[in-house]
Amino acid sequence: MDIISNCGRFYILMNEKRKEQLVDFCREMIRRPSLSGQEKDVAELVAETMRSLGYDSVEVDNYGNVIGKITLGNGGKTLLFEGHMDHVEIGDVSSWTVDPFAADIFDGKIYGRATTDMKGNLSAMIQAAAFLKEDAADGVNGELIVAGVVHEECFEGVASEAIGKKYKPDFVVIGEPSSLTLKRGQRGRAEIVLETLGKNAHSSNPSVGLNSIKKMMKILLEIEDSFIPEDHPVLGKGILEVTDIISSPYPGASVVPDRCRVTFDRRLLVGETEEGVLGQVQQVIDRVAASDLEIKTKLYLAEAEEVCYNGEKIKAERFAPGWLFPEDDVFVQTCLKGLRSAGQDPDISHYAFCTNGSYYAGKAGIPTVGFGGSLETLAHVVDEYIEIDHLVKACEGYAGIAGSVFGS
Amino acid sequence: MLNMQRKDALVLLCQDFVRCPSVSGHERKLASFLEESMYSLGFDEVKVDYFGNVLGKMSFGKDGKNLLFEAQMDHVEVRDPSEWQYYPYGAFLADQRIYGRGTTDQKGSLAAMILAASMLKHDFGDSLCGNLAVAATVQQERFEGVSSRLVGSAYEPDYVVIGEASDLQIERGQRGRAEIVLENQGKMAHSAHPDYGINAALKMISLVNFIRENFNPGYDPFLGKGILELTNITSFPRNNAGTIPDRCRVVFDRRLLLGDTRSNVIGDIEKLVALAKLSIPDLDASVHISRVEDHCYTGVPIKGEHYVPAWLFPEDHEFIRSSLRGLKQAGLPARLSSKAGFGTNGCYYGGVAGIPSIVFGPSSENLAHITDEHIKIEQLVKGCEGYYGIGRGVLAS
Repeated sequence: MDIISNCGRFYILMNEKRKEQLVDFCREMIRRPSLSGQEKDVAELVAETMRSLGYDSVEVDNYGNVIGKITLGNGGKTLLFEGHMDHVEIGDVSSWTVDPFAADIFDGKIYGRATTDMKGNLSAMIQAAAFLKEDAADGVNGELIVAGVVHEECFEGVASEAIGKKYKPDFVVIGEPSSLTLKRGQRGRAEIVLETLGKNAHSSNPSVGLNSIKKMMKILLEIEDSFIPEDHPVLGKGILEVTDIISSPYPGASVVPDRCRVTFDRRLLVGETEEGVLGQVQQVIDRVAASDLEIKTKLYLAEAEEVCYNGEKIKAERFAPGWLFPEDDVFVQTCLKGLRSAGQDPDISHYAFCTNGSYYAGKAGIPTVGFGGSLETLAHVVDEYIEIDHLVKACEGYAGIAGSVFGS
Repeated sequence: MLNMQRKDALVLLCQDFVRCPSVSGHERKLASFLEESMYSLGFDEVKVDYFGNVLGKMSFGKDGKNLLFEAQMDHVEVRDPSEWQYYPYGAFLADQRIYGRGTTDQKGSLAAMILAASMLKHDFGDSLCGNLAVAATVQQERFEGVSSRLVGSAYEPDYVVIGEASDLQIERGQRGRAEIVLENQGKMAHSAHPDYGINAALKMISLVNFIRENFNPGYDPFLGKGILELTNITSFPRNNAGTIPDRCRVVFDRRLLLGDTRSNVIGDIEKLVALAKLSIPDLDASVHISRVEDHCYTGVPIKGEHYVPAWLFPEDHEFIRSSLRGLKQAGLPARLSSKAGFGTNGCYYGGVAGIPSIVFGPSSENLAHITDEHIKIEQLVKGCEGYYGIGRGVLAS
């Protein structure tokens, strides 16, 4: 028995062999690029690894999510560890100083796209569950599920809904990077689309047309000047940030563009609704339109449809609600106890980005926390990395949380 | 003035041209048909250069000027043929019009020019002076004056007539054009943390706003405004979600007046960018003129930048006077347009090479590039008579 039971403390022993196994697995995942919708290679690796680690069952669902299950002791409550398998684009590869998919190690850090967000923590979850099973002590009873999820980067909570409905977890741990702090909430996210409508004309004679880009500029400048995001004492600001702009026809040659489209990333505070969020932007537009009768716009929530790597379609309106549990929430405290039993003393805070917790906590109301290694600010950046020390502590932390949830 | 036989020949020739589709880069079929037609209509020499331009030459008896008639062979896409009332390559006759892609822009002019040259040879033989060439050029719709450059250096014209639709008026100048690209670099970051990065789209909006507020378009009483019009904005990465854009690109269509040069056109914008940097933090932007590259139907690469200068010749220029005289002699109204020409077809000859040039062609510019493009037969006939008159007027002595 490797598990040490002492005054209610449960933790797994991370010896050198296990550390090496964890690091190797993490690096294997990094070496399988998996942009959203292209997670096939990494999904196969996850499924194979789970099987070889002795998971009791491994399933792949319609969307291509990989779900591994381990029964500890006599079973009982279901705890879900969830991590997404996809990652964002690498951007301009020439600005990277390392190969983004080589998973090279320098100074105790594994470098590469998705190390922080979030193959590192997913690998830690998968290994932690197996180590826990190997070390299983008496009195640890429950169903532990680890899910590798597709399409998180663009569809927070959509693939998760399928998992939530099928496996009905009692508790959820999201493995997004948290600097090893315990997260009890996050802002949600809406993707808002604004179009300005103008009139085509030959650009040598623009006065007979109506340039949609110029109208868009007016609105964007007004938003910059006058939009003051609401501020939540814990979660922070409900910011509205431009993530994309394009004029149409594209590419246009010698044409005054008749349409310009901007996409905003709007971060949601707890309780915000679709109507409220759109109404706020509409107010700014109305202010601009009051002094410019040529302003014509369309404002709506982005709806997106993508194809999963297995060919299945995934479709949703981009509105993922925010969520927050009180610090003294029973599940939050149980997790805290588990992390302390693993020798950590985490702060309790919240995520500053959106996660699949939007479905579990925001929509389904399931007790949820976030916990993971590495800094939140290392997500989506050039030269992304995760410290091996964080990776190991994340693994210990997950086992500690499971031990605490199932031991209580 | 054109008898029935010649009118019929003109309409048939124009119809044949329309039945040889010739989207830019795909002019081969039309070019070989033109080459044969020119020989059979009595041209002394027909050459096809490496871009695929067809240059037919007619020499008259005595020494004199080299006059060039130029029209493009290529045309824009048909787009959705089901929206056309007449099959766009059918050259159907209806309501005294020929319907089809390229009729107005510029196969009508091309047919009129070739037949006019043939008639001049037939009617006046060696009593005229100098040479007359008709050039049918490739890739006009996509490149400004690039293929004309080759024609210009092979033939060295003294005078040029461009066949762009002008309602049978003589246009004596055109604005130039530059396509200016402005690009900036930001810094990528998760869109939940925009403060960790630099949003290239927002920086670009501020920059473009600054440029709009501080740019003074020049004005010329004849050519009009030296406008700077936004035609494109695009942020990168495309289809972005979850990160702030790290690059943004805008394109301006800038119309040029006399005296505008390549370096001041870029320099004006560069100065504004430098000024904007004083008030917009973290602005990293650069300016250039856009370039295009493609292949001709001959397989030869063609490239160029979107820049051509303006040109304008005085009303009392000798070439304009003799052209007006020729129109009158041909029984057409000798009208000088009060406006600059619409496109930029003459910008190589008039603007870059400084060769006295005019624009003269049948039909109206607003019939170019449209669904159910057509040309009135009456316009086509008068266009041919006009070229005949101009040729006769200019080559008389």
